[in-house]
Amino acid sequence: MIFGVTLFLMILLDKSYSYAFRSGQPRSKIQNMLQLENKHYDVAFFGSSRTENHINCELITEYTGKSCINFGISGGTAGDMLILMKLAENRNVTFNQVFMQVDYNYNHFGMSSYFKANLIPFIGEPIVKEQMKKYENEFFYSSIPFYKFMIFDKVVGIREATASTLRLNQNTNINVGFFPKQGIGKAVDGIFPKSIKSRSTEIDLMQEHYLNTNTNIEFFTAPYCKDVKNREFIEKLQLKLPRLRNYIAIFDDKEEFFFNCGHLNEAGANVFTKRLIEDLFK
Amino acid sequence: MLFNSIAFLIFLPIVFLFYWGVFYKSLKLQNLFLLLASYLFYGWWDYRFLALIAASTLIDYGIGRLLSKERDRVTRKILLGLSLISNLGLLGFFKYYNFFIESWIDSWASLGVNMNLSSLNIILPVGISFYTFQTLSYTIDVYRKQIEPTVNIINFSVFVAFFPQLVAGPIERAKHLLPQFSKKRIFKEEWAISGIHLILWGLFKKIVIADSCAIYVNAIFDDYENMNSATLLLGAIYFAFQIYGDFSGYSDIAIGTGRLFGFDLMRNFNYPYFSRNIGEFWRRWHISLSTWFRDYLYIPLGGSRGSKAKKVRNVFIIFLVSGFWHGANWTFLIWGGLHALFFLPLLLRKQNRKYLNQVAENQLLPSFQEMFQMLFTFSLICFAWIFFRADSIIVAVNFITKIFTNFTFELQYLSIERYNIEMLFIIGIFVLIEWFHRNLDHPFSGSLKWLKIIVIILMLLTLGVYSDNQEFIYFQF
Repeated sequence: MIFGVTLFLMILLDKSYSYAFRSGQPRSKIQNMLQLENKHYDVAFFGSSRTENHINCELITEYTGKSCINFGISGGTAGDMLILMKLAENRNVTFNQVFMQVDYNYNHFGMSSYFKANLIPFIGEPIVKEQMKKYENEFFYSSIPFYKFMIFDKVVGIREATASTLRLNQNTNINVGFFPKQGIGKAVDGIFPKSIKSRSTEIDLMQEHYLNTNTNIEFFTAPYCKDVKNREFIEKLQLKLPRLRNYIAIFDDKEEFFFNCGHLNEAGANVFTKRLIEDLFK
Repeated sequence: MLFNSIAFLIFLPIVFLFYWGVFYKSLKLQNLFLLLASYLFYGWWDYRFLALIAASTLIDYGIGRLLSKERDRVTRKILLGLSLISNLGLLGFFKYYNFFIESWIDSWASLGVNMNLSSLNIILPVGISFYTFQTLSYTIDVYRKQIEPTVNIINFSVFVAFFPQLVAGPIERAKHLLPQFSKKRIFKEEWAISGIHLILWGLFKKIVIADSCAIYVNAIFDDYENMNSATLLLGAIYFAFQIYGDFSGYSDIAIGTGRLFGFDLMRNFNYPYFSRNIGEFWRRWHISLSTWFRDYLYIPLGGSRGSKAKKVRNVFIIFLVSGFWHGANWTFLIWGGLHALFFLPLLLRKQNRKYLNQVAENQLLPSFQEMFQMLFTFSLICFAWIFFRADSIIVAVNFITKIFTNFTFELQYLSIERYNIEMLFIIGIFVLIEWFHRNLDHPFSGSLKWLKIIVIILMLLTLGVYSDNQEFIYFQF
């Protein structure tokens, strides 16, 4: 009897949570993308925290008049970004220019767990299922009711489901996507891998994805502090991506711009964005 | 294998079905099957350490058999000594070797002498403190002629390794559990249902209370330097509920699982935070360990008989040993020492056995005096828990100093993106449920039984922590 009650409650909760995330207020960039439709942006930035924390789209729009969106996600992998690009295509969200930030994420493969968790409520949608299948067996997520929400409770648990249902906004503007870091880092340090993968399937697929389309894709590397170890990794990356725009060293003498070795603070982010405006749009 | 894991969710029904469905006609086969299941349960974590359990089992089985034949007092003492040395030796090596080596080096270093001894990279076998104490109790009871030694090695082996209570107790006594393996077990529906209720309640305590508290506790203790007094106080309270939910939850699941197989395991917790003094707390907290120490250490030392000095000595010994049993760290010794200090005034004033009944018996609410007593006792317990949780004595002292010097009691937003007081709401519900069912094993009784079950399952599904699957704290002890 208890098992029957539990199963019934799991089905009920599964339906409720799925409805809450589908029809509620999007509270992450992934959920936002899944609710976007038929939109066009002049410029889109993809990448990890070095995109999310560094690229101020409002500044770009103000200086250039171009519409801009930042899809960078802290901890996001190249695999995550490739899926976002596929989802954008599926929702008819188009761009003239795509900038993808690359660094040590060139070496990684697969989805981040945060990204996967955000996709979970939408697993019923064919495009999401298709993309997830590429990376892992989604059988348990699809077949055991509510299991998917339990396993990823930190990201799609009761707090987020409630906030989404009550249409509570995030503290920051998800449609712009710029979440700057505050303050100046005390102990700046960081390390790049010593070796680089021969090829990144996902970066190759991104280039393929925008081949013969009206969208142009470019790759860039965000600034790091000068103390970062194995910096020659970026030189190796440049050999893989010859047109890579390399900004790793532009703030070598500007410690005040860093929150920590791999992340700029808000002041640094704004200066970096202005530099990109100069280089990319003028 | 963790009780809160998918593996256990599959393991338990399979073992249950084979046990009652296939082997129900033969007690021998049931016991043998339980032994194999128990070894599988333990080996799931690390099969190499099964050898330790087997060694401990064989030694105490053999010594028990020899003791039954031996009449000579000296030889009997030697045999008991052998059991103590082998069991405590295993425990000492795996649990305390590095602690003693490092403490030895540190103490010489403080005198300016640098030593070149190296510590070993030793893995602590899960549950070693529990099963060694369980087998020891058997040998001691046989030595004292309180029980007859068993001739059945399968029964004895499964007594040592019985999977529901193998890795975190309750630490069973041979005279209570061992005879149950010799009696024909009949499936009783109501017994099994009460077992499922206990498992459900245990899972709630572990997954909703303990694991949720753990998120706050880790955020507060890891960053205590940036926390205000209110948050630090809450950190200590949350830890009190984390460890209680974790350990009593485990015990409930163990007892409930035992009932599914027709066994009666001893109660390990009896609403300890509703205690009116520390003496009462220790009759309600980790009962199987505190009674073990009482019977095999405290009473042989003289207990509360003899001179005041002897009483004080005995109290300190038992609490310090109890602290040290929890782990090889000075923080646990301080924790034990603090409890000795809290307990001593009660013993000397003969107040330690004052409260033997349930608080506010037959009443809905406690009196003002009882409320004050419970809050005061809980405050002392929380104070000691800070040492138990802190990584070092310095951290604990700084933590406490900050509580009493910062004196800011504002809402604080934690790194886990939650306010410091949010968990209090769930704890409040938990305390109320416990209070109104404090005369029972679990809350699932009465006319609202099904409503309570549904609410608890709903809370388990929605408020439980699953993404950050936490091991049971007491596995490490």
